[in-house]
Amino acid sequence: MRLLTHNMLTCNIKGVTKGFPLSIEVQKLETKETDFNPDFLKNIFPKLEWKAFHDAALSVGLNDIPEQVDPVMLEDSEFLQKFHHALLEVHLEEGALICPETGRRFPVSKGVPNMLLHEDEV
Amino acid sequence: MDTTSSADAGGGFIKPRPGVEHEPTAHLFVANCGPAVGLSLDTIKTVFSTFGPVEAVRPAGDSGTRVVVSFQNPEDAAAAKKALDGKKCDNLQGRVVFMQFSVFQPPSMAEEHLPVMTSSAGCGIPGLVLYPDFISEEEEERLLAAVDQSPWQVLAKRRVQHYGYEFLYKIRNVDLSQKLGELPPFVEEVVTRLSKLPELTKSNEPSLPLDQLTINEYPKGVGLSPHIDTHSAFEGSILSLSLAGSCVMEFRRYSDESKDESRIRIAGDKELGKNQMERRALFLPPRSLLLLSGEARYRWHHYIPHHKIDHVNDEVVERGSKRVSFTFRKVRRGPCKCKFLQDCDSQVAGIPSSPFLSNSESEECSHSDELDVETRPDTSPESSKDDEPNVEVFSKNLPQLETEQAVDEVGKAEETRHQLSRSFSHHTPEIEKQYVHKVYDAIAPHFSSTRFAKWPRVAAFLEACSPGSIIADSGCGNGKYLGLNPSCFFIGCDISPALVAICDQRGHEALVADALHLPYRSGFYDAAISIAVLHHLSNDQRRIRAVEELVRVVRPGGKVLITVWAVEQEDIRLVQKWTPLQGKYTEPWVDDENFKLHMKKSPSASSLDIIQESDGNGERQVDEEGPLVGKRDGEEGGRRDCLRSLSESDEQEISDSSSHPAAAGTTQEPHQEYFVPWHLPYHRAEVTGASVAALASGFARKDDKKGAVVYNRYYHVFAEGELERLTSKVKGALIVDSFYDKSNWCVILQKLQ
Repeated sequence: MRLLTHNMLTCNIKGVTKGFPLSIEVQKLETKETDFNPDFLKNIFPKLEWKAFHDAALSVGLNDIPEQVDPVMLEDSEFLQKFHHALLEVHLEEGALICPETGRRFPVSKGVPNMLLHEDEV
Repeated sequence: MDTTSSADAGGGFIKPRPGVEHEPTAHLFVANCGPAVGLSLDTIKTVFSTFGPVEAVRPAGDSGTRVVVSFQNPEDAAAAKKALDGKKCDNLQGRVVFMQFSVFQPPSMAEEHLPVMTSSAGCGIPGLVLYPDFISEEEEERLLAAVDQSPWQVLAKRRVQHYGYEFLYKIRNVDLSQKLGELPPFVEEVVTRLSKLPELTKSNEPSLPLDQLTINEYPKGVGLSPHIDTHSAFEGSILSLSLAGSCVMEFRRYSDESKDESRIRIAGDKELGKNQMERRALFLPPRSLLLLSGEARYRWHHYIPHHKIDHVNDEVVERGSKRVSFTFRKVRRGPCKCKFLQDCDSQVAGIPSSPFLSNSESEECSHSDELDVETRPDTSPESSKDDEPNVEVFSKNLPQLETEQAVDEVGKAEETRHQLSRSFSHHTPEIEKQYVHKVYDAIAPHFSSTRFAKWPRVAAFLEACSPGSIIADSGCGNGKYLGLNPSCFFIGCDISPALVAICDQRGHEALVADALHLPYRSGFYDAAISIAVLHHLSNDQRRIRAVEELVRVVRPGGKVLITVWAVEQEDIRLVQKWTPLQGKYTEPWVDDENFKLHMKKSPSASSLDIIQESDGNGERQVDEEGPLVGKRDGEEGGRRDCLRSLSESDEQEISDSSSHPAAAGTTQEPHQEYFVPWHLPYHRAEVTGASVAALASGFARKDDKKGAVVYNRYYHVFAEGELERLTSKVKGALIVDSFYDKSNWCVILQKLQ
């Protein structure tokens, strides 16, 4: 699971009003090289919840993602490289995603989050 | 027709089929006898002359193991047959020969002799180039020695080695996520030389770097069924080096008409018009390099007859004890965009490499010797003698998904209708858990191996997404659409962990989730797709809920593509293989008045207990096929005609076979609830404990005739207009397009601003 995916995931348990962002519990990370595509980064940038992305990056040990960000930074290739790496190349292989409201733990195993809900959660 | 013609250049003798006895003639068709088994035509003539004057001994076909002996007098032929037929013959090296009377057929009816070219120019196929003596004898020796140092993968009739990426015969493609490594050092020099070929160094030529090598070792007499290398698997040129032995390679181009012919053929016709297939033959000597590009690569089938000798013009060339080919290719990353659409699996869904199959996706082979053939079957008259059909026509259809955890509704009847509706849609009915989720988990790898063709309409939708789009595939199955548009980011989800694991192994971003409860932020996606998913949901509330979720997660202005199986199947035979469920499946408690209002059709409540397979079902199944993946012509008018006629027969079928009460008085209403079988071949089922348990519990059954464990999948197939009615109930989106495509109803929704 990439951090980009993390940025779009939310806990959808019935009654939960603030299921985003899920906090990340890391057991194992992997880095997989991905083609660098600045245009894609520029396109995705406005969609991201930056704070959540920044926090997620921190939780996977990346501390070079600035907390505050401005679109002009997208012209800076050094920033783009770091952005690219954190967004697309770091994968959570084993661990969990945790609902900020209920503390519900969604396991991540072999890189795959299991977001299925239990019967009493829908 | 009770005869097949011999492909004999000398002429027009026909061989009776086994069991058909001709009146005695002067001509004897003699099997197990000929140059390929060490008996020269002269020797044979000498032996047969002891019965009377022999006019000629001619090879019968190209196998080298059959001849036609022509006496002057039929009596002598009869005497020879009486003395030698089926007996061990000392004068013929102790061989047991078999003979039948043959008759002469006028040349016009005999198969045309195909001249064998010795240069690629003679073939006149654009993109075909033969380089004789591309390597020296020393290099040949060195390569052969190096290959023998490496382990072989043994197929039924030949051995192979794969480097770079393994070619997976079951899917006729490579798995990009499973790189084996670099090409081996022993081909380094050859690759360097190949990379300098003028054909490969042209601008815009995508063949380099060559990153995949398949080495085939063919024993004498073994060939290759006609096929086109999967378009989506490789790009640029295909380069094949012949070592050790020679062969004649035949190239065939089928006209589009012959593909239509194929359907008729399946229905029982025996002959395919020969003029609908163009053929060329080229002799490939040892150490030669064959280069296929453009039309030669994308449009022409290549074929090596299963012969021990080849006729090269006037010469009889015996094949060596083996032939080893080194085929160098470049793995494709992204869809094929060639102009030969009729043969392109990237651009036409379910494309068969052979014109003799309907356009369904091919199932993997069920015969053990099928895996050795990098191709679809060819059942053309002249090759059917040697080439076993090796693929079953299989189902189209994609995965499913969804689930919801059940909420125990007992005691909540006082809830508002809205709340009840929500609960109803959230509760996953047992039929879906059992006959959708559980089945896909059990069959996932096999299912996935049959799911690779992409529908053009789905591909077109995805390709129209602007660069940088984020696309959600809800119910993504094995992830065949993930990554289809490389400029977009895809995320897939599916209820089946086994299918999601396959997506992940392929390097796609995917997670386990329920289509009725997408774990996504609202408005995040630029587009969403739901391909062959809604038909696995067992009531309208759940189907609507799934559409609501799709609309919720796309941004305002974002589009949603939904496809579902249609009642109106292009191939009515498929429907006949399905088991109609007794009445519309409903949960017992929905007799609540509120729900009756919502049920579009009168439910006749039933439970799983009374959902049974009809006894005759197995008998009616010829193959596991899903809805036909489409008429290739795609003409709207033809399609409509087809639909009309089908819906008539459909109704006929239903009135004949349906006994459920809902059918009475509602004859206009087609049956929509079915079990659709999935055949999991024993050799795949054996390795999973799931099938053992499923058989033990009666959840799945065995079909020994087909050698498969049979699972039933639940389907609610959609009637014309139903998908539009359903999706129009979803607020906040408009239907911007709706169409019928390849036995599916489809809509495109756009979320309102």
